[in-house]
Amino acid sequence: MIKTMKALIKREFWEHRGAFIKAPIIISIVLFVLSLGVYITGMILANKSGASDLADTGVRELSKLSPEKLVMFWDIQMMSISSLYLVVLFFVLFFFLLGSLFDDRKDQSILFWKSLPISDASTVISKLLTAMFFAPLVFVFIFLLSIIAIMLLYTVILLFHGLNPIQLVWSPASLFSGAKIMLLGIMVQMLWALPIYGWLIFSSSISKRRPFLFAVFVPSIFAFSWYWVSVLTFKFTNFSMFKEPLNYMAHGLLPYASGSVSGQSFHFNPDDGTTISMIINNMLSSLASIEILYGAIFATIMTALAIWLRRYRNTT
Amino acid sequence: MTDMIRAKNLSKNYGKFKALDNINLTIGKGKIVGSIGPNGAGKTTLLKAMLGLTSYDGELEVMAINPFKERAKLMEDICFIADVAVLPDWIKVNEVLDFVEQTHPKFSRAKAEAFLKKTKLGVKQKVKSMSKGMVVQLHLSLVMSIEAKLLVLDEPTLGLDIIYRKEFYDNLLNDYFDHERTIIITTHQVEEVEHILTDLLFIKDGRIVLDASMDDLTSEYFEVMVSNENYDDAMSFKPLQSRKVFGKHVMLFKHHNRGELEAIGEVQRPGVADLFVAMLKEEEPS
Repeated sequence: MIKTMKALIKREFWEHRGAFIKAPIIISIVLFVLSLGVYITGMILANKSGASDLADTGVRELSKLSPEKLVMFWDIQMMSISSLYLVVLFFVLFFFLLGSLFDDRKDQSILFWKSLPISDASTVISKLLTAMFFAPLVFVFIFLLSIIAIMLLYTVILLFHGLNPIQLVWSPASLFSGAKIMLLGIMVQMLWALPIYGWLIFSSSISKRRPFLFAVFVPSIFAFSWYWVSVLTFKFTNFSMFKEPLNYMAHGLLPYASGSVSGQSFHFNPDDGTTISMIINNMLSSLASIEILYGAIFATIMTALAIWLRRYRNTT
Repeated sequence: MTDMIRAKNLSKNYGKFKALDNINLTIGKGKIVGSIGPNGAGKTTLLKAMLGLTSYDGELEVMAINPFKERAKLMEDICFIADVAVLPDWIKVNEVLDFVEQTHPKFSRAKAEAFLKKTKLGVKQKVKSMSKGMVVQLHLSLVMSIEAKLLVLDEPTLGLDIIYRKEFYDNLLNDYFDHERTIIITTHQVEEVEHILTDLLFIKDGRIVLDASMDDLTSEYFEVMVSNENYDDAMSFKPLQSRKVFGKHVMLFKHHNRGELEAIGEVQRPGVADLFVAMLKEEEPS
């Protein structure tokens, strides 16, 4: 059973090497090149305008920060980079799940997969587990590599300007803290996006031709008809049928902004003592809401339906 | 004799269309059954029902298992190759070997590798880069390395070069079949398989028109080469079918004394395709 599950999950990585492994590597390369590019452009422009010391001053700004501010500088750096990874991960999983029970029907290889002694439940669950845990873990790993690359880049630049990289980079920036930020972000993203994942896997299983259209239009039509009914009963400002699904999606896309459950907006201001751990705690507190439970129940029902449908699906 | 497959009043409807219409059938162990019929006759639907790929009405047991309810369990003892080369494009030879090894308890990797050594396939080669013939070679190597009790082939050689086609059935007979196993083949190319079949199943409009062993058929049906001078004699025996080849008449007879027929010409074993056509004619009310 466990051996089969392992093989099924490995299979997903063979098929989706591009989305699960190459995509995060490309983000890290782009980030690195961008950082380097910004620095080089700055240097060149400063030199051309005859103010070569300006660039130097810019870099030196970092050394003027207090140790606490340096730690925060790096934490914010890591959180912004990990946000980028989480947004990309969300889209990668969106399309992965949409195709997960459809692509093999389209290319007819489902007849091969179904010729092996693997139950439909194992197949569907392996895809969900891949989306919930295994693909995100690869993103965490590559995110950390990308952080190390950026730290090395800073080291070289600082050395070039005669500054101490130990004091400015390696002592305040903690990979452990980066890993913690990213892992918590991924967990919150997964919990909030779970009903969306369930819906996507169901859409993938039920669609005979275009899972994307099904996944997007069915809920839209449903929401608009509901709104129309509300209007007929003179509840013009009842937008809950749009808000609820979008709420899950927003949390899934940007988990770090999941804080304001109570409705108060959250302002990040480094000067009044707001720290990264406050953002994190605020994000984690969003998990206590009842919506998370509803989402999990919805996802379970959708997955069960997807498994049931899979039995009747061969080729399109 | 143990029955591999038992069907009782098996039906399958797609809306008003009856793909399978009250089929009763048993297939025993050690048979090579050819399932033959026109397009849309229900051959593939019957196979899909046996493989647990479709729901149905009536009773069906494959090795005492209900195929639609327990497909995963059934697949430990069944192998099948469907009508198209269906290995996924993105998979590599070594990946598919890994996958089947880890998910199929009766798969022998060593056997599969030995089969693959005889082909030109590389370990790292992707299915995408293979010709259709090569994909079938790979699939067959996998299937023949599984200790299955039942092998189901649905148009396995469709779209293959003639060389691959011959090799396919040679491999199947020499390296795989051992009388403990049962093979079911559906194909349009009857001539290709008729020499290896032990039993025949003719299907038309979702019903079984004929279910007989090759031995019975060849003792009931005769093909006779009749020369012109014996033509009238031959016609008095009421042939099912008559066609002209090289100035001689090739006629198909049923239930006749072989001695009588030998008097009018050379007696041969009839081809399955001819039998099939004759059967269909017999079916039609005249």
